[in-house]
Amino acid sequence: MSQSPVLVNPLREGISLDQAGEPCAMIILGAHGDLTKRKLLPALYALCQQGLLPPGFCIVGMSRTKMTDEEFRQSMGESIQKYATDLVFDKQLWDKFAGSMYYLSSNFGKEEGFAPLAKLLKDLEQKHGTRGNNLFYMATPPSLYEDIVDRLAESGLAQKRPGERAPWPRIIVEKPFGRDLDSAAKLDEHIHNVFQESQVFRIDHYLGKETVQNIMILRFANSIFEPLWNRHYVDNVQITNAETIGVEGRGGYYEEAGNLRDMIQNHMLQLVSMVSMEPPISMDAEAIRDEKAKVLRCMRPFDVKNLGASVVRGQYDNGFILGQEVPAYRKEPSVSPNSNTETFTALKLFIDNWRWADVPFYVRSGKRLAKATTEVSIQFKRTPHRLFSETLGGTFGNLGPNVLVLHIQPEEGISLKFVTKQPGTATQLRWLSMDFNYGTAFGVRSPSAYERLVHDCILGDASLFARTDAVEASWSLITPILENWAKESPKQFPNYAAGTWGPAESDALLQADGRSWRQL
Amino acid sequence: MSSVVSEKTAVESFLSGQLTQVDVARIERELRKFWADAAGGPGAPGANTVIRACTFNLVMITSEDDAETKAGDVLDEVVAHHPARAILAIYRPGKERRLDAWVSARCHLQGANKQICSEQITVLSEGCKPQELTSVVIPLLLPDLPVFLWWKEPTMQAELLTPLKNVARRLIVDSARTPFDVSFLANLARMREQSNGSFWVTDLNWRRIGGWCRSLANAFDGFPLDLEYLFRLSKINISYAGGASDGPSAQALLLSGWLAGRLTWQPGSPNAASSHFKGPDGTPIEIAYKPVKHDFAPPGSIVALECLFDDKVVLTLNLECTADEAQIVASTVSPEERQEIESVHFHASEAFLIGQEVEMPGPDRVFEESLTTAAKLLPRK
Repeated sequence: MSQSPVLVNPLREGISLDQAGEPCAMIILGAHGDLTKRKLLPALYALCQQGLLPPGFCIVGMSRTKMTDEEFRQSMGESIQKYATDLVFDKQLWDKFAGSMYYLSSNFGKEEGFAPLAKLLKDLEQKHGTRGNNLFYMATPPSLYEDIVDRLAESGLAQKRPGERAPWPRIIVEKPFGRDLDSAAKLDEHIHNVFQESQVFRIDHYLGKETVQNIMILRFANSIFEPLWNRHYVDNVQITNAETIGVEGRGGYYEEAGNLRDMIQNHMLQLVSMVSMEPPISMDAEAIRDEKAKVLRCMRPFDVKNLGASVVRGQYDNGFILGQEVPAYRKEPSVSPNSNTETFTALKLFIDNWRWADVPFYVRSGKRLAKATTEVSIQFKRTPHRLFSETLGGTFGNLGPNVLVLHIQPEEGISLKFVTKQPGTATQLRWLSMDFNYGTAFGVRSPSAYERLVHDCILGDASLFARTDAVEASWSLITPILENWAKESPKQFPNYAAGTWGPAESDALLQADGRSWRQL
Repeated sequence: MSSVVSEKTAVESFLSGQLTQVDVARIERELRKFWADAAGGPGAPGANTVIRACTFNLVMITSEDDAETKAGDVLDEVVAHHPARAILAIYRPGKERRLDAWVSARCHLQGANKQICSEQITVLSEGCKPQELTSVVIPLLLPDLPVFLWWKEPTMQAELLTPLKNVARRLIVDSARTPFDVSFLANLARMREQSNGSFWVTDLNWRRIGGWCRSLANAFDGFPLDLEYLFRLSKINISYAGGASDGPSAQALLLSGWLAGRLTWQPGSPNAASSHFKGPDGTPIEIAYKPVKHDFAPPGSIVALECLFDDKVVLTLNLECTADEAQIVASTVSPEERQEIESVHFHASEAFLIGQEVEMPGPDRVFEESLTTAAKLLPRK
């Protein structure tokens, strides 16, 4: 049986990929929440400003709050002016953009709640030419995910219609994707009853950041790094995500999640996988995700009998951040005064494969730390013979190895630390850092992570979204820690002062290996 | 003391974008000195951090009377978003020989006290041989960075162009400068053919018709028309801004070249009012050119397209514009299916279009193919 060839529009060839998204409606479920106001609408407006939204695009906001279309537009316009501070608000453009925004008040749990949505989307298909393509963004609490998927299925909105060029439904799922391995598998099964994997976009906004995307470019588009990117030349890899902020009024959520679920299981392990993956066979989304899943599966399971040797948890006490006194985690609103939720985690990971055998990956993430920064640092091995360290009284030797740093936030860029001779008659050595900063090198505004990811989803490019097997692999690694922590209460919480670099055990984790965290 | 004050003033004026005249033979040396001073050496101006950034070389060749100011402003706008070494090379005839140079920084404040700076070198040659100018410009190119050569002249002058295009990665021209002079496109197509891939050519006018290309592609993607219609096209009428005697404009020819290339239409013998093709199955297809008066569109700009299927107009794309903005509106035979589909860039500044060019790292194959086909459609005089 030969298949009839798919008809391709030849006029599309060579037209900037930026412009090639298909018409669609984006339905934001939970449109009255913070995520919509702070991130999604500013991202969509930025895409509109750059002409990156497809023709025939419209937005439907949906949440329980009663509102008219006009009130929704007004509220979103105010949010954009408040939160999209890097964009120039153009009233004329906004009016045009707002004209394609609609609002529907509805209860997500009830079946009839989606019948009006189905009708509205049918009308918008005619009015805006969305061609029946619908992109559902779940910006709701995770507890509603399964109900929403059921309602979408019951209303017929989540069924892919037959035909080569049939309209598509896609769904974007916000983290956390499950609470542990079992709940993630259950949610996955639920979603897959309705959607195919190719229609599911599990968003991890870290992957939308320029520097994170640049990890692959740096590694695989340059010939000078990859030969060194292995156990022969890399001594260890350190990944730090440090926040100065506390839980910011999200105490209730954080009590349930904790740092391990909130940051490590998704963002940090995604970063580890980007740094450690093998070259994909192509830049196709599945080829990239194959390699990421593969390396996640290579991570050595933690020894739960001796967890303290590779995992540290912490919780912040009161302290000072940038001259301001801040309260302890247990004093935050909606947080139990006896809470054992971790606000800091440090891990020592090993990847048991040919490339990375015995190279430790140290990962730490925490709230209320001394400085807000996220970076990956590749610490190279020292020179085999320290020709200069003796003559210079050990100054050179004490300063550590060559380090390649991928700065992820707040400044995005790359720096390489190396030794050079100081000008003068004596042989004095000096460490220098060669810096590349995205903001200064290109002089253009970097798109926000949500801009990139929403745009990718409209294009149907899943490269930067987590696939089900990668999610499963990361939960498999993390769940034993969660189970162990649930059984054993931490002994000395709170164990670090706000404004420091976390508990002493975090430093001890590296000191035990004769190493230390990079000074930040 | 007074020398320190004057030194400070020189660095400050350099950083503020003011042109500072330098000896033609000492351009690099003077620039190095300015940057060293700005970075904190003797005469550093205050506490601001000055960062010099450069991602490519941009050479603009022009003979315009007001080039020193006008072209300088355009370059300023380009480097604000794309840090570069910009070289403004002005080549004018003159009875007396004059070869002068100026340098200036183009800085933009980032944050409270950080300035990101590009540099501009202006070389003015009057009454000189082309080689005199190129012998100054070429050594100024920063090594290992791509060179974009912006030829802002209505004609190609081989003596000046040849040595420069030999070092350029891309030659950028603008056929809108002589919108009805078909020989310009012919020369460009010939140059591209002879380049053997050693450099690439692009036309800012091609960027301007991007909106039309996208609108047409979109229009046949199911809304308002299904893709099958694209293969049943029998005639297209292209209207462009121009007087009654103006032959097909460069924009109209480029769009025709693009359509023919994408849809594998074989061009027949050219004439001024229309182009004739044979489709892949041998069916005849015609593109007719029609100059129309237009209040806002610059001469030669496309203002409307009509697509006919079996000689009936089914799809119309119209430019609706004001002095400030423009958009393409598509409609099918039934007026209620009118749909706004694309904004176009004919109001886009040269700096914006150049910005698009320098962001494109490789050749624009679709443009090159469209140019080649367009050259086959040029009416013979």
